[in-house]
Amino acid sequence: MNIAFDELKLTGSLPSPSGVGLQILQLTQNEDFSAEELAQTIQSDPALTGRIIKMANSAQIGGVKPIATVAESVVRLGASAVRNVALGFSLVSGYRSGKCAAFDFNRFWSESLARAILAQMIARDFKIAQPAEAYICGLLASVGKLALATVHPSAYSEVIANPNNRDEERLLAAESEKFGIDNRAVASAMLTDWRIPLAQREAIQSHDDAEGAKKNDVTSRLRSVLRLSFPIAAILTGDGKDRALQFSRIERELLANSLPIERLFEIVDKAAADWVEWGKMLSLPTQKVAPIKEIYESTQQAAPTLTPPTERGAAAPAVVNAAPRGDAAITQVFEKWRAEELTREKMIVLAADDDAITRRILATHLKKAGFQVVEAKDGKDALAKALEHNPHIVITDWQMPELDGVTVCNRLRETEIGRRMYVLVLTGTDGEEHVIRAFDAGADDYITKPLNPRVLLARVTAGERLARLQDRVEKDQQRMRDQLAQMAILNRKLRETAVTDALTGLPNRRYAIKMLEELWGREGQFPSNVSVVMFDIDHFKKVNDTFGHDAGDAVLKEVAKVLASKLRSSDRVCRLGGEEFVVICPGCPLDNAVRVGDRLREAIAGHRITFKNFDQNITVSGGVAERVASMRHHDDLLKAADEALYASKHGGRNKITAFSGI
Amino acid sequence: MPESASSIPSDFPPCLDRDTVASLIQLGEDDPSLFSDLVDTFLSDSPERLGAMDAAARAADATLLARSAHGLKSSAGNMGAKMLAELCAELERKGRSGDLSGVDQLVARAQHEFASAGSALRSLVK
Repeated sequence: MNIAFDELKLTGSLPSPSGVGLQILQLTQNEDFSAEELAQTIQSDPALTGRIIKMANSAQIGGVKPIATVAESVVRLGASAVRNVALGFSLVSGYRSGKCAAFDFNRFWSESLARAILAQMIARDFKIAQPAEAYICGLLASVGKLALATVHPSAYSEVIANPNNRDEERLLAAESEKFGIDNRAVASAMLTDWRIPLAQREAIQSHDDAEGAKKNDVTSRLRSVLRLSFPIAAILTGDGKDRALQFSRIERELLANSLPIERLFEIVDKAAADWVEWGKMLSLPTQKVAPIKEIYESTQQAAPTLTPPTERGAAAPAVVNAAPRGDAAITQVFEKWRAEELTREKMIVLAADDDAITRRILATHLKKAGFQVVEAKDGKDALAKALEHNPHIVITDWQMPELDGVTVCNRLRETEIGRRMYVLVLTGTDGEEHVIRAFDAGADDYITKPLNPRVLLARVTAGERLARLQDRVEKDQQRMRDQLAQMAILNRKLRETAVTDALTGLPNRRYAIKMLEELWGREGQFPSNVSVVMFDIDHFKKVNDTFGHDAGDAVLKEVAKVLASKLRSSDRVCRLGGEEFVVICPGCPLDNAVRVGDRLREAIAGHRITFKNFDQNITVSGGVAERVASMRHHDDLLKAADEALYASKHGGRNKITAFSGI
Repeated sequence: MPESASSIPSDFPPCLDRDTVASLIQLGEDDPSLFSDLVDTFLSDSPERLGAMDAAARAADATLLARSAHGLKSSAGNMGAKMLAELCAELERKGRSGDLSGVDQLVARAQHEFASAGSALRSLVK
């Protein structure tokens, strides 16, 4: 439950996997999903199907019969690999560009992909975590940044363009200040929405928190994997500037887990090669990097001398051999991306026809007229390329093998980006029937064959005009969404004062009720159960009567402080009114909640409160209840806790009682 | 008048549509290999389609006949082989309606037309 996140969600522009991606995510949440179900889900998306089969064939050894179905691909690659690619592709293809100027979407995905592959391999080779879980953690660890860049493009652009916010910690603080929530919390909330298990969410949210005693649970191990993958991915994709810092992070983490650095280097080199391959598959920019050991050694030699950044002068000869090779390649890649960004302004037209001659003529006409042309040789190819290149205009032949033009049109209209494309269908001269069906399928216009160049260009130009108009309308809408999102933040700041108890600063009764209502609505969803602990300060009236109301207020504040400081991060404490408090524990069964309550009771009893002439320990009584099926309303839960609290009071106070049923 | 258009000989082969071919040559003014590439593609892709049409006519497979004739109809139309395109259109219609009377002769005529249109196009490539 997170108000700031709910607001982001309300804007309707939070990134999410496309329909099929989401289905795959949900299907594969349990380890025991069937390969057959997975294949069926993937098949509903032709573009995805094409990618998966292509990938399976590229992993195939020559001479073997080529793979033609998703089911075979699942057998060849393994279900979890297919799941990961499918999920990644569905997210990547949906969010390849955006209005956030300072946010480099391609680089973001390239780095996320590198991190995911590294995390998976590190988890597998060092046997410290489930490889598939590690992959998801790596891929989605920064997805909160993507979300902020998508929902608040201009404001977030300002935040990341500010050189003060280069440092991750500063960035988180700046995000909180500007949006009321930072990218980690956004990621965690999004992953909850996508039903990613708790351990992975926790690992993402707090992977670089200082860890006290070394723990060995799933979350801590995933954190370790992330703490290694983050700096390595930064080295693979970065500009070579803070390599020394990144390596020191890596060394620290290896040391803490007594892992050998030589083995890590082997893993990284394999992962880097895989990254390049996967990058091709997802059309993401990647680059070949020098063996990590060379980079490491050059950094080690350069670091202690503290040479100024003039690389030519003082650096040892070995450095000249190793580092610049990588850096030059990186610069090249960056320049290529920039060049691609600049050509974006050209209208992109996708021309799909199974006849090579028609396709070539069509493409030549369009190129001459100044369009950037992407060619597709059949319906499947057309869908895949449309999702990949996001063309403004699609020209598709009517009759094509496998998927005809009408089906292409229908499928495009089912997707978010496909709805915005201007679709022209090529038809024969003979069929009025065809034209009507094409319009039914959502085509914007049609051109009859054989192609008349003048008609073709006239129709495409009309399409171009509409596409540009659409573009402008979208920019306006985006600006409006921006303003709405800003307003929402302001409103929340105002509203927060209405749900906060002025004396203690805790959330008030209204907030507690709202939170319970929210949890109540999630019946059958995660988290499935909820418990509450209701507290009442013992003999509070006596404090007021003997020491005055200001002493009473001081006691309330102190109790609030102790409760809030000893709380688990998943729980929430609210002041219900008077000397009554409630702790809401989502996803927590009764016996756990009793332990929570007792720990809090003990903490308060052991805390001495001094205020003017008041100087003593005070105690609280508590009642605990868990939501059960017979409770119809959240009021019933509070009543049950209240009843248990009453029993504590009568049983001698300073104790916790669990509600024992009606 | 563009130079390329004037390079069309006065004894222009009657099996080709002059305007279509002229506009193709003109389209290739920035891309000199365009026309020869198109002719190459036409010469290499069409025999397979004609073969499929022939097989479909012999096996009385109306669906296959319509599909293969449709493909060739587009290519031929684009290349200016108008007689061939018309024959294919007729064959496609017959395939769709399921009336396969006389398709054998039509396919034979299409093969003949392709031979003359093909060699005429080849003669126009420098």
